Amino acid sequence: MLGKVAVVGAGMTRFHHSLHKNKNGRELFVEAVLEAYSSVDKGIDPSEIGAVFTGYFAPTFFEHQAHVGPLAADWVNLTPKMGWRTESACASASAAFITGYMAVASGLRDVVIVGGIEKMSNLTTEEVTDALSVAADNEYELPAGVTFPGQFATMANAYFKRYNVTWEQLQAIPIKNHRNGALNPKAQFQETIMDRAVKVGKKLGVKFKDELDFLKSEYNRVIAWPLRLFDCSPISDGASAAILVRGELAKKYTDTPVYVSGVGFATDSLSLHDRQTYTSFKSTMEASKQAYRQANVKPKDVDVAEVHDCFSIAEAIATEDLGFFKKGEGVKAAQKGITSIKGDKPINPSGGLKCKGHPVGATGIAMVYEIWKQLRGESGKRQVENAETGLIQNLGGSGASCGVIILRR
Amino acid sequence: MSEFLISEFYEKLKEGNLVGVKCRKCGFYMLPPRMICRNCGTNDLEWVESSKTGVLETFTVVHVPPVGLGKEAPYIVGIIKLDNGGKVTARIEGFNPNEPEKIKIGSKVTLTPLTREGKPVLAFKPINQ
Ligand SMILES: [Zn+2]
Repeated sequence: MLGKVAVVGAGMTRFHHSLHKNKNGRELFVEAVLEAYSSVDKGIDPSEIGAVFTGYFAPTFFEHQAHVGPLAADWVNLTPKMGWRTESACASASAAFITGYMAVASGLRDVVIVGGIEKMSNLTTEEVTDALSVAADNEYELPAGVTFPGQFATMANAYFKRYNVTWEQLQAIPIKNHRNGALNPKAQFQETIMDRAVKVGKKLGVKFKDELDFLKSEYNRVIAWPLRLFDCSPISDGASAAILVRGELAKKYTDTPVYVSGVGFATDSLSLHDRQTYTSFKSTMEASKQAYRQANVKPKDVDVAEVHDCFSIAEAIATEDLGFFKKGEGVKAAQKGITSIKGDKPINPSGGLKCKGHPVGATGIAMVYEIWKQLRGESGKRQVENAETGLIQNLGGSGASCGVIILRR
Repeated sequence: MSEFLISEFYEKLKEGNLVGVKCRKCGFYMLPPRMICRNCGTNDLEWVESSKTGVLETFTVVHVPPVGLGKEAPYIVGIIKLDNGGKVTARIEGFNPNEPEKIKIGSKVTLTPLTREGKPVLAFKPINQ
């Protein structure tokens, strides 16, 4: 029998491509943990923490550093406590979260820290592309020259053809996410796409009449056709952390705890070609099924969600796989404003990976950070009204893994 | 089991042969080869020749390549469904990567393996164009 688990604190660094140039992963992690400590309403004594689980996708590529579990624990002064690094590509942090959840729900530990890190900006774009590509199958996919954006572009083409959707329509998603991220002080880009269009236009001496006009221009270069730069989440540095405690202890730390009411994690083949469909993720459907069942929550009960928009198309597919919209209707929902902060089903009020940034191994717990704030009513200008149930969906690679976490006030 | 190594798959590809594996117990066919039947879970498999023609199921044109492939970009990568079942990720030749609108999902293609630094790379080109 699983015990109740509460989130009583959360912290994250700002996500950014250049701001953290002179810091490394461990330093970013310390920053996130210190913010998580100070977010605990009634305070926390670090000596109460029994374990530290840290997600980090590719430290060996990015920082020539492995063995990050104890390193992270050491830098927050928590050795000799239990701890290790979890890796599941872009879902590394939700894997850390669920590891911590299992430790607490099982009764093995009372209080744990879960976190995530990725320090990507040390490498060039080509090198980052290389580092991320190893989330795909090295034997059966990479020899053909598969890239991470390429995988999602391949899915986008299949999706467009199957549901008769255009790239122009898909742009509703990055446009919406930039509008949200512009309101988020932790976001990498705190500007709308129109803000950017005006800036670029001034520099080039041209005028873009609207967001789409800019997105169709040469400035928004093709990365993997049909996806362009603004369809892709950026290269980012950052870290995130959350504090999980046994449910019975929650009130010792805060009067407004947020409870973990369901978790799910599922796997699928690394290779896209080994899947029956390229227009939905079995891992998302299975992980959400696990989480919905445990939480006794239905898709319609979710008031706010942070989903994995590593690429524009991924948000459309996620909102369908999670059961918010019918298959093929995810883009339309964004176009109609249903997924905007004031819409019926707000998706990615933080700005999503596209605008908030995507330091791969930190993302899952940065999503938890956003939902935790939303459920406590602390999200300022991007607050979703009366949010009581929130969900995060954190996809690994091109969908070979997925973590889903449901949080309730 | 030694014959079911991935390296063996590529050795055969080097000679121009595309091979999958078939489950001796339930008859399920898998391309690319793996060690355990995805249908029934046994590991009693045998090599089976794949057809060399198939259909382009979906694709992308990679403009930002990983390290080492800079000179090849832009290039086309797609998923091919072979005529006798099984699917592979492969390089797509014979189309202009700068005219992606002209690349049609559903095009009939045929095997035309490439070599990169002595290693075979799966590739297909359109039939009768
Ligand atoms: Zn079988």
